[in-house]
Amino acid sequence: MLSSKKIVLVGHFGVGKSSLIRRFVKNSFSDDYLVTVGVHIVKKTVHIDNDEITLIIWDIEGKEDMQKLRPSFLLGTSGFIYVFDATRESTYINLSDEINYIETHYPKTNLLTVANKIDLIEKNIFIKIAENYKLKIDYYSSAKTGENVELIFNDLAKNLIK
Amino acid sequence: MITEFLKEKYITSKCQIIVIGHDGNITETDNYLFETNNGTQITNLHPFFETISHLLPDKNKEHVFHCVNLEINEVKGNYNIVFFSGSDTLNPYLIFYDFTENCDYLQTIVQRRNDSVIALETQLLKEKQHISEKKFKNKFLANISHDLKTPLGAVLGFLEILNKTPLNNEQKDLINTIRKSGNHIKSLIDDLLDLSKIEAGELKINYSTFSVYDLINHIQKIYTPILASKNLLFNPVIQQNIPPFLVCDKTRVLQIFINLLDNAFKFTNEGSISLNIACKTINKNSVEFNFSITDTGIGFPEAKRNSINSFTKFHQTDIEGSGLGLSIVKKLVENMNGKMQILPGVKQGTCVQVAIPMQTANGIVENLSNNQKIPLTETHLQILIADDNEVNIRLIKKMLKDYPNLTIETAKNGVEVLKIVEQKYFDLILMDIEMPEMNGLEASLKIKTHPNPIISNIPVIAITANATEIEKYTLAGISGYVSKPFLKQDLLIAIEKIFVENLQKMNI
Ligand SMILES: Nc1nc2c(ncn2[C@@H]2O[C@H](COP(=O)(O)OP(=O)(O)OP(=O)(O)O)[C@@H](O)[C@H]2O)c(=O)[nH]1
Ligand SMILES: [Mg+2]
Repeated sequence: MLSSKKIVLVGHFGVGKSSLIRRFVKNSFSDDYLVTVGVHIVKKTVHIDNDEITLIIWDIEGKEDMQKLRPSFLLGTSGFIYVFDATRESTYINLSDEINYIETHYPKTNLLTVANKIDLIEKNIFIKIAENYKLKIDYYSSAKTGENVELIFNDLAKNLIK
Repeated sequence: MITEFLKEKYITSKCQIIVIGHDGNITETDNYLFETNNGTQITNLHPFFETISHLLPDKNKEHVFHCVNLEINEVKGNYNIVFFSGSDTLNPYLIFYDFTENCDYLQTIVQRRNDSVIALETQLLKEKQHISEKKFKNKFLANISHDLKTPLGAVLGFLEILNKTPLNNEQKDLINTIRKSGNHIKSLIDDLLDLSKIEAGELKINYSTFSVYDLINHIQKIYTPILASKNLLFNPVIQQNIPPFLVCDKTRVLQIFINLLDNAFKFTNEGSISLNIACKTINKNSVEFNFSITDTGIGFPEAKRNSINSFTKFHQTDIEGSGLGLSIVKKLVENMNGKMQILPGVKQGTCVQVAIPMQTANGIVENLSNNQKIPLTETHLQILIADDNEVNIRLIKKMLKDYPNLTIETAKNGVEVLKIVEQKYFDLILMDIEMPEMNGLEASLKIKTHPNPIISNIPVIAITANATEIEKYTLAGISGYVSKPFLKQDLLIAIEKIFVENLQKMNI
């Protein structure tokens, strides 16, 4: 059965939302930073066992505060990927509040948190930092090397058909 | 007519309306912005529409989506989209406003802002990393130096034992050479430890009074044997205007002299090494302590001189060849808020100039005899004596009567102390411990935890009959104590100590 689900990548600006999507959909990467204004929407179908699911991925502009996002962007979302930049403290310092906000305002959705740009920082060092800040992290990723990118979207898709 | 024209130019042409059936097929479109055909399923135009099609059954709802980037039939644009889900009388429709230009403009502004914020954050991160690497390096240095010192101590110790056994001359010579090298390693390790401490900001400057004349005597004793072995003249000159006592960390000052003189002696084989000491008055209580060491040795190449002169305490140290001595001197001097400069010497050679601001001791004499008058300080000090016993208060007042610069007030118990300090500034409180209403410990604790930093910083000296409870005093924030019965000298030393510590706090 083919079904389609809307997923949205959220998080501060410059954390790599567009890059993760680009890696997942086009398997490419650029070091240049081009700010996303508003929203770009792409889709990709993934196969899970005998199922197929089309992810309609909303790549929205970065915001440091979920509350400042236009609610229409999030309308009808089935899954969130909250992305932060492992090298920039400002992008994860309020992580638990942000997660809380999503969980209370969009209770029926799936949510994964991703520490991106892990290619830029020693993973063990970052794990220590994450412990310090009590960050709840589901995946460590790099849009640059492709590490875990496929896995993140596939796992979210799996959760969506459950 | 003109309004029609303008509407067409500025509004209609920037707007497209698509009407759809409840099944999502297009029933009407004006194609102002992009081409679509009647009958086309809206979800086939762009994935965006797939995510709003579930809104169709929900009648009479309007949603606005801002700045949506779409490519429809090869036309790219950014649109503000109004979606109406239809009513009993009206089909669902979509209105597209072309916002491409605005979005492009917004893009450049946001890009600039985000780029600069990220650049700043990255910069801060780098600095943070640099500091933590430096910390790691210093810790590593400190540990390794410490670990090296223990076995080296054993080597040197056993060498001395070996030296006391029957040996022939050649063996004695060899032992001497080993000892020299061992001592050299030891001093290098000490330097490393010092440097890592300075860089880690852990070096404490312990202020005390010292006599410049004693210092020079000491230095001359150190270098006499070396002078004898080299054909050198060494003439220290102390200018007349030097105050007899200065306040600084005398061990570190000596270290500065020794490191610089060691270098001078190492690199000078003939000629002279001169040491000149002078003071410039800054104000009544402080001077700039200046000295220069000039040698006729091999000198520094200009580039190297410049690089040493320009590094600051925030820079990495990189002075090869001259050992760590020079870097330590530079850092020590800067830690004391002073300056060091290397100039060319006469002919060849090197001239090192050092200037360190120092407080004059105004006679804070170290070895006090019982009936000597101690010129405590010329600074005006306000002292509060708290004691419930009138006789004790009179006794203390008598002991301090030789010092017109001390203003003394009294309190009968802790409660009074707290009241008084809130009304007036004090430099010091002499606090009896056993007092009615509120005892000295409690009062001291209240002072130390007072929200007003001026009050919480007042040093308290305990006057006590029970000196075994010192731990308790420390917990209550008491800075010193005098045990009853006490002599005038004990009291003055305790006050002097506080005064010197205050100087340290002020980082003079
Ligand atoms: N080294 C490294 N750089 C990355 C990674 N992901 C993204 N970047 C870089 O980070 C910058 C920002 O990436 P984007 O994907 O545009 O970030 P964004 O979250 O979409 O930013 P906004 O659209 O402004 O919200 C770009 O210069 C990317 O090249 C990564 O995993 N590793
Ligand atoms: Mg983006």
